Amino acid sequence: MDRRKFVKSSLTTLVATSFFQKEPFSFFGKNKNFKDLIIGHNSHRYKIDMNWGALNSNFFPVNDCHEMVQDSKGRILLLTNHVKNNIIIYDKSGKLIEVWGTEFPGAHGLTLNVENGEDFLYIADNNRHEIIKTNIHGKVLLQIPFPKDSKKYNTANQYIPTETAITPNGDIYVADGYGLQHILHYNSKGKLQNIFGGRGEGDDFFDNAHGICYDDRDSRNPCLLITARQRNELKRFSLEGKLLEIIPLPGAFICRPVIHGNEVYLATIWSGDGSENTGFISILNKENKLISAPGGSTPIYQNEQLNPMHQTIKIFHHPHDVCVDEEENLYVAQWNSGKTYPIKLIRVS
Amino acid sequence: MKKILLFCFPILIFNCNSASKVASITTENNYAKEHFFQLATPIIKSESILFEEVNRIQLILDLPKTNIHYTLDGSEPTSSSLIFSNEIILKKSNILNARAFHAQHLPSQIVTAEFIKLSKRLSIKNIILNRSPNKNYQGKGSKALVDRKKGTTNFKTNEWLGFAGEDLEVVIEFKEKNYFQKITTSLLSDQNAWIFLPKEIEILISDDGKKFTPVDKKEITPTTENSIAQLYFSTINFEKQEATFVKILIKNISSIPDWHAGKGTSPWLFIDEIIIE
Repeated sequence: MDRRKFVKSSLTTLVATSFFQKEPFSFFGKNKNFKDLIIGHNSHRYKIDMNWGALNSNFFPVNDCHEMVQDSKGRILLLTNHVKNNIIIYDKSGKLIEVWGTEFPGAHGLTLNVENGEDFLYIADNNRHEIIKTNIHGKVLLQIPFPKDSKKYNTANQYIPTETAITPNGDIYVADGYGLQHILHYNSKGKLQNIFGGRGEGDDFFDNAHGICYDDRDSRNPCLLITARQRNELKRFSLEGKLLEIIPLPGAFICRPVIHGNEVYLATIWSGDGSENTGFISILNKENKLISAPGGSTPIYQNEQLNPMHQTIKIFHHPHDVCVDEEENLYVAQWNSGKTYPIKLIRVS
Repeated sequence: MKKILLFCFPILIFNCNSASKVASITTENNYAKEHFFQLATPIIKSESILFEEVNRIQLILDLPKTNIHYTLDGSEPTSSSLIFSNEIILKKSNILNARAFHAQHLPSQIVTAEFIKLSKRLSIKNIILNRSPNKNYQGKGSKALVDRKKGTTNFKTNEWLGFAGEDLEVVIEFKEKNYFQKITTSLLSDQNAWIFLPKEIEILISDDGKKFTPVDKKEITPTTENSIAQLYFSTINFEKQEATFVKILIKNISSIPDWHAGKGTSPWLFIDEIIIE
């Protein structure tokens, strides 16, 4: 390199550096002596990438980032209730691949199911009061409207589904988490088979049945995990709708259970007394015991009872869902967080 | 040559730009560092903020190597203030300010609670509100206003009564004529939830419940911008009065201040207790 070229390139380096330092969070790198922060407990600890998936909001805006899933190609799908691009598809590094979807004003629940080798999406829409099944490109294949025939509902407005879970035979379970709290069991064609849960005082009932998933960690006894968010409880139900177990998580307002390996991951939107901006992430082991709470207090069991949980570091505002990739890194979508894009947690232990 | 330089410039910036991005991923420079995030606000745990003998208080933030410092004189806690260990025992009314400190994180916001030691309570016959609380925030009804139980900073708990917009009038009727000289109104400020303190509180008295005479009033300093929910007591001391009825007139601010996302719209008023001594 001759001298003139050298001067030019070092000048541009300077310009570029000062430009970068004006960007949000760029001062993470400014103090080289500071270590990367590690959060979480026991076997599940993470570094944090606050910039993951950040896009130009003039072109690819988000409102609430409600849920995220990973498809068979390893891509990360984000569901937002912004009708300019309800689905935003990223690669794992956070690079934008494509967007679609303009007809889901109440986009809330996103479940991916592989059927005969093909990825399908189930979207629970709060505003449309229905479930919409699409292919991976957004082509609508099935709509399940409010369950008029169940006689549990007078109008569609009473039915505000928040989540779906799909079993291997294609049956669809819907949690009416912002509506009358029923769990609706449909066959793969969308015909109602059973209805259970509902609002009420007893153990069989729900207060904000916000999330549901199919749990086959015990392959001989598959079941459903359903959150009762306002009660800080995760409930285990049989596929027939019989209550099997209640897992209390005091202080943790859990959104939806996500199974990966032997663990259950749950975005925890509020903690403690339920004050605003107090969220963290909950990770349960095979025995459904809380083993790690990134952003939250140390999980401690005394006489088999979990001590009440609370936020300890203000990293998350209102985590609404967690997606786990094959490297066991987490992608955290947030509700009401100032229209921010997801946060990635990189597993270090 | 000048022309060539000008052309080269943007290209070089672009190259440098993409090169540094790759570098930052491989050197993990994108990860959030220590000393960047703020600690969560410690939790104040106590049976009640109102007490008659002694009050035992705990401060909680369960993160290893966290120190919670506090003051009882209204001053701002620093890392040289009193340090919390097991419990704080109060024997008189105090303002508790607490803040958490940690070597790897920024200090928390200050959490404040005013603990009030009360004299014996007066017998109350009736409480009348000029308007009903919002149907979502009715708490335990108007009786909760004199049950001497305090809500937490969470407005969703049923100690709180929430009102949107207009002024609130609370008329309290004693079982018999009583002397009193101090009225404390307990309110909530939670800007995230669009809950603001009122503008002014006025005390009026009456013997027949119809014709009220003004006794005293107090303006409330508007809250500045902050993101934390806080309990607020407005105490009005006045010359000893004797009456059967007392009216507490709570005048709301007309609209949410300009710096808030809800500017120009009606704020919420949350009240959970009126203490007459």
